[in-house]
Amino acid sequence: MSLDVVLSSIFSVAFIATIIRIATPLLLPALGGLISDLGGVINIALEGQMLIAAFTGVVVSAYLPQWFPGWPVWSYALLSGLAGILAALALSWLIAFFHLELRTDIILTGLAINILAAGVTVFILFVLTGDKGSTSQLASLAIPNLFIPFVNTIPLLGTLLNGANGDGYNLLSYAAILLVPVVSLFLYKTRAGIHLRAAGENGPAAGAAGINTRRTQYLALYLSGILAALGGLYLSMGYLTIFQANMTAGRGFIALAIVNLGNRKPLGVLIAALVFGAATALGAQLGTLDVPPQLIEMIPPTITIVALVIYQARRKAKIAANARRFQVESN
Amino acid sequence: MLAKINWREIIRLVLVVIVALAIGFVITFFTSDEPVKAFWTLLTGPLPQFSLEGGLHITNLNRFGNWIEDSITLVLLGLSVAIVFRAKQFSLGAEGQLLLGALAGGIVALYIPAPPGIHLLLVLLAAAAAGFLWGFIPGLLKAYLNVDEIVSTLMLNVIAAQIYQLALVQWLRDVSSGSVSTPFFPDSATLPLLVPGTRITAGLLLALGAVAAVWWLMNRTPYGYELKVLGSNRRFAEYAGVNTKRVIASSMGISGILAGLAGAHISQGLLKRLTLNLSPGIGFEGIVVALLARNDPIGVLITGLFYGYLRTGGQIMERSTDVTREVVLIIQAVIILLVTAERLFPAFLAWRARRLLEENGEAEA
Amino acid sequence: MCLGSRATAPDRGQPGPLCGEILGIAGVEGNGQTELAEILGGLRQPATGEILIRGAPITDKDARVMRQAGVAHIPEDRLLNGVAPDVSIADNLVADRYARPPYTRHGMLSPGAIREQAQRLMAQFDIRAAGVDAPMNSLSGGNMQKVIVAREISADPVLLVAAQPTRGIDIGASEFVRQQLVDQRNHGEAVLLISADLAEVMSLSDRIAVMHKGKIVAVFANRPDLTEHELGLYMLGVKTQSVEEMAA
Repeated sequence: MSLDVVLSSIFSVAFIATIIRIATPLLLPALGGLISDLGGVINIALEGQMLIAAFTGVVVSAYLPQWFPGWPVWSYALLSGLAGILAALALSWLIAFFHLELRTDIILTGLAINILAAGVTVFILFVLTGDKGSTSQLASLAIPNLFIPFVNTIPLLGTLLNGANGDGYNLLSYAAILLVPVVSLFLYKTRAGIHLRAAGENGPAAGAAGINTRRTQYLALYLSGILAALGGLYLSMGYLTIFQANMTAGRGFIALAIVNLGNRKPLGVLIAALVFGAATALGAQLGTLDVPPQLIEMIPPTITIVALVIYQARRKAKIAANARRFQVESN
Repeated sequence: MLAKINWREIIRLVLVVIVALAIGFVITFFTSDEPVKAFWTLLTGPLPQFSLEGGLHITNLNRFGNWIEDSITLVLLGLSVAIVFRAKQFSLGAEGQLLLGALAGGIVALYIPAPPGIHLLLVLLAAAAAGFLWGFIPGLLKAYLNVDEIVSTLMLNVIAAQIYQLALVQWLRDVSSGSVSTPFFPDSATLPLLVPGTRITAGLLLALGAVAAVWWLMNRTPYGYELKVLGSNRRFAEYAGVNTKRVIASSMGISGILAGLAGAHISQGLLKRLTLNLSPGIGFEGIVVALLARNDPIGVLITGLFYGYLRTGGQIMERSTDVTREVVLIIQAVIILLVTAERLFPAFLAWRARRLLEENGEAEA
Repeated sequence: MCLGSRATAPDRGQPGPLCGEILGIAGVEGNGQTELAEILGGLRQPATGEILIRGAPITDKDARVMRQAGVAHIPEDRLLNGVAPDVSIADNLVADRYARPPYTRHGMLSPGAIREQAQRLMAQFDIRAAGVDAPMNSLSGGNMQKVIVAREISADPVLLVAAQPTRGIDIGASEFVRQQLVDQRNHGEAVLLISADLAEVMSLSDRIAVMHKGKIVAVFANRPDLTEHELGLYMLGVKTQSVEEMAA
């Protein structure tokens, strides 16, 4: 493939559609990571929560129609999604219980949960199907796409609004984008959100101001579990309609990086998720040239580290400047 | 200061392991057709079997070998984690350091000719240097700019994985081979075999040497003192005049050396070449080893052997029964949760309460 | 031969304790006493001013340099930065000198020397604990404070900065710590006593300086007829001495 073909495919509307598909399972858990991070309970277990939700959703959607035949298909998909969310919430509860009640280190707890999720999913997968790799033997359902009628006749707009295949984006992609302003409103405009940020900023002070920080942090972990679950469900019931062992492939950890790269703000998280999505999409495109995709894949993590360095260096300079100003003013 | 053996702590840890194994058994019981056989295999599989038929001979030595091979990796990774944990830092970068250690060692093995003996030494030095670099970078960033080491090490893992793949696919790959891998290393660059019939190599001596070196570093050098004090209370260390930034950065670098050597053990001892999937997901396994060992190097040797035993038993169980080795992951998760949850043990709680009471009594007197 | 030390942190040209003297700092908490102690301990950098120890200025004011210059520091919040809680008493007692002989020789730590010092100091300073290997957090507040005092005084400092040295410990331990400060003075070293306990300042100090809003506003030679009321007027900023009065 020649360079101009690659370039034209990059600067095409289809490329934007690809980015959205890749960014969805990053953006959803990253929003979850944002909430828990701001609540002062950094959630390392996003990865495991995505995995268990992806698995539970597929399994329930495969068995539900056998157990309760005759219901409309959308209700099976909906209930399966809810089951996936519930599974992730159970893990949220475990983290919260161990960290908030038993005072364990939240990072070690999160790692344990990731290991647990990796183990439990493959273990049950094998018990159910005799296969450790995937649920290819199960007929599982998909969370539907949202198709926007009439626009497909307009060439570019059709691709933009309904994706490269013209059959619409997954509902969860829309949910991911919509959740950016929703999370923003929650964090900055609601009482619970303000309490959550206060608890994360300075727990003892928030406690002294009458905020129940423990309950607030439970909430933060539950919400991040729900969002991680949506990301996992997208992978197994949207992007694909199958569960594969370890199919999250580190996306939960990338989500943590996205939170930091996005400067711990909802809009920043959206942009950072798109940057990661674009780099992966670009890597796939450039792989057809002689540019190794690995080089492109290195870009987002490198940007994340550089951004963290710049952010901290500026913060340090600001603190020093403030200290100087304080001295000058007080003299 | 030979650490006094804390029996109460050891009993607690043994209890944790027993509870975790029991949970593993319950899960097996409800899902397997032959739970007892499966669990028996898990718990005894790695042991070599002696047979007297036709004279004494040992069977299943390779299983015993698998146990020791795996334990070497786990001990090196456990030491790597123990050093940073001791300084209360949180590197999750072992995976990347291990990959780059293997890569650097592999490059030296393939492209830098050297006489036997020296060649292997150069290989190990290269692996250690690569690991050091990959640990020192996040260490410096944490120490001097307060860049969160969890995010930076996770990102460096991603970058390292890409560098490793890139080097392997683009330059090092043996195109005549069907799989993506390098040619086999020359003998001068591999760890020499110690036990015939297994893959137990001089990597074992490397691991034992590392245990001794880390023990010495932690307990017999001023640096070890600084690590301990920093880990206990950073502000106290600063007040006492310890250069805490230097200690944080270097502890993560040293941790990287050990992870890099673990990579060399896998590439130069076990595989004798670089393959695309060198070590799927072993990077985090050092954490459970260090946690169970309470960051004590001798303890790491014991818990590394224990956890290697469990992992090997899990593989044998998977091969010979209907239970998959993922049970071991579940057991591992339970161990981490329970070890960190000190409040969970009523006996431990009661002991704490008694001690607090004594303290107060003393203060009043 | 002690030429005296001058600690002049928050403001220029202010008096520090002389050799063989306890200079007490009186003041309402939050008027710069904490900062003064932390600057002298090397935990905080002064924005202006200089620190003279035995007349020599100290430039790079980190904790290690201050300690080498002969300043010891009993911090006001012992749990915040005075101890390493899960480390042994012996190791806590060696925190400022672990890298020097006899504790480190040829790059190797000597556990024997560390334990030996601990046994000696525990006897000398009446520290009651299960043994030198007992972790710090198994001690009562008073014994913990004695460990800190033992470490700082055994450093043989030119200037001992004692910030709230008896806060939150029992009467017996308090008396013991106060006696140690007096002994230090009697040995001819300088002691800077910072305490919120005005009675403590008045009973121990040879001279008393009053801090208000980060500055020393008055200096008195301690005399029996000095009253809390008089000090209080300066502490609240109602009265201020002139530079000449302070120098007198």
